[in-house]
Amino acid sequence: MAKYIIKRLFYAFLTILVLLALTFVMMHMLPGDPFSTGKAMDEGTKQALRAYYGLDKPLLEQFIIYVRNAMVGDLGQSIKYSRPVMQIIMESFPVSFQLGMLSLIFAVIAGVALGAVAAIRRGRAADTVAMTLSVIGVSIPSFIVAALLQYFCALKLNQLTGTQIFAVTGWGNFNQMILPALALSFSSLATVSRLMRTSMLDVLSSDYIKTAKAKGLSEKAILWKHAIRNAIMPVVTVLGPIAAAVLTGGFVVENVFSIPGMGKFFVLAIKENDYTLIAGTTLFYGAFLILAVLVVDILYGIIDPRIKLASEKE
Amino acid sequence: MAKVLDIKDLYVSFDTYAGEVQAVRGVSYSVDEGEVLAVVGESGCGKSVTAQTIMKLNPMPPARIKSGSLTLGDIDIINTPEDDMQKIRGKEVSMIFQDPMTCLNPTMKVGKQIVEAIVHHQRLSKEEAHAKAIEMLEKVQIPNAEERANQYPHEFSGGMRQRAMIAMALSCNPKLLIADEPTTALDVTIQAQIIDLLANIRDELNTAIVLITHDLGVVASLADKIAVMYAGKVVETGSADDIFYNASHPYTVALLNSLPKHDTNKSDKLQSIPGTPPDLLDPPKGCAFASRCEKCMKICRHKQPPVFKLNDGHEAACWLLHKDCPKEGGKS
Repeated sequence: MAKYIIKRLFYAFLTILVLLALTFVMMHMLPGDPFSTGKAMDEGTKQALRAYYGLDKPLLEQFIIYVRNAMVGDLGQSIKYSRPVMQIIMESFPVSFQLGMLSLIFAVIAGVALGAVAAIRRGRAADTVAMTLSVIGVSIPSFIVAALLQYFCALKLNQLTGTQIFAVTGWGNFNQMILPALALSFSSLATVSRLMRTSMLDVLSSDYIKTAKAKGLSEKAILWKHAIRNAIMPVVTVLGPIAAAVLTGGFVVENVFSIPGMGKFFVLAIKENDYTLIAGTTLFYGAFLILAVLVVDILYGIIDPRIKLASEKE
Repeated sequence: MAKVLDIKDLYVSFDTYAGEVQAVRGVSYSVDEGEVLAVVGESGCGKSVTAQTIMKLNPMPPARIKSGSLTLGDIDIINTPEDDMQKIRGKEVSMIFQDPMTCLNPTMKVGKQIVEAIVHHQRLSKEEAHAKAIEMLEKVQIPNAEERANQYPHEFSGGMRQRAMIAMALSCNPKLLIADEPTTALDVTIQAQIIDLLANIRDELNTAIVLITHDLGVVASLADKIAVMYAGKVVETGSADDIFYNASHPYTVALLNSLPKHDTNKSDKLQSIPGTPPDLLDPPKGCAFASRCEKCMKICRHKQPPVFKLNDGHEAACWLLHKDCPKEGGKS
């Protein structure tokens, strides 16, 4: 197990290096540089600034310096904000992480429940309702869901009841977290519920469910002890990609609800040609997602005993 | 001897979009204590549906018990509600299935799956149930039972899984074991072992067994009584000797003829029964086998044959056995 994890971490390191190299090349291919936007300044000042940030050196040398610094946790100074990139990330990421995790947990729990119910009541009203919801969830982009939720559940509901049930904007209190998390989780919830329904139908018609019934177990015991655990496997596999979608998709929802998350820096840095901030946030997201996929793989081996992680066979 | 299972004139249909499929059309058979009844017939003849009806395992709907009686010991199964069926399944009657590769839950330890059945029906602690599960695994000759109980199904071979299934089925000492083609998915050598195991169980525990199969070779070594089914009906019943040496229904005869013999030459073609079974959406008015029967008479197409009693325990439903039937058309 330990050997497997070390091997995977090594590969993760390589992946991140490639990711970083690609980011580096692409951002330098963008027209202009950090000093060509905003206020006009004379050539001499620009030269001096480039030299200050080390941008006058050859690209390869810049890359090597960057990697060397990044290894000890120094992601450089943001050109636009004149603050260390690491500091910006450490301030804003916890907010994005909270939002992401909240919506991920909601998507998985509600998605699994909805899918399971749809499968058990196949062809009946509950199934139709759940599947209609999931089609809506897949088709409506999160910023529309966010705006609708904000308008009806925060603004209108508050006016109607006279008390503030859900906050319109901001972050920190629980009543500020619910709506954004809901908006962000909507499409993932839809994906999970469809997946769960298909997989549950598959499991329910399998022979071992018949065996369980032939043992005399009640419908409830069969569902909880035999069906759900087997049906949940495909959901676990998509957890990695869903985590990615939820984290990187957070930008839009954060924007609608004015949440001080990391999405803003991740997107706006590109517009501003803020090289260090682009590289820093990309590196951070990349590392986080690769870690998430690794955790999912390990989780998979725990849930399904048939899957042995590579090193255990040796 | 006491009858463990008694089925009388059972009709089971499936309501499908295409219409009513009359899968079981008046089946009667019975099994005594410690007796092995083999139910033989080709695919789709209703043998599995009948067997699953004993435990009410067919999903209802689409399945529907139309009429007939089905008693297990002194329990009237047809009128037993689902809640009470859960106390009967696994305790009074157990079942093992065709494909042992898919019949065990892949994410649960084998021992735990057996414990689950024991705890459900008997007032035992987890430890006692676990000990009992290991004892059952030993009884079906699984080596290192203690260690094996802690393994998952994928660590078992096909034959071992079927043994584990048998151990699970017998863990609550049922009066009746239904084995639905228990050897079909196994190697020939493993088949023989499973058949031996079933014979041991019958002798040791006096468990009655309904053995569903289309392999007459399996039947010959184990069955006390045989029921031959065709198109949702029992066409002939009798002792193993009656059926093998004195087959009276043309379908039984054709079935026996299609078995390869020891003296069959390689160049000889294997015998088969021409034609296909009738569509049970619209079963024929007369004898269901008439269209494939070599000795078909006019009456066979119009009127269903009654059951003729040949001797004690040997019965067949064929017009050839009628006293007015010319005898040269009789037994082959």
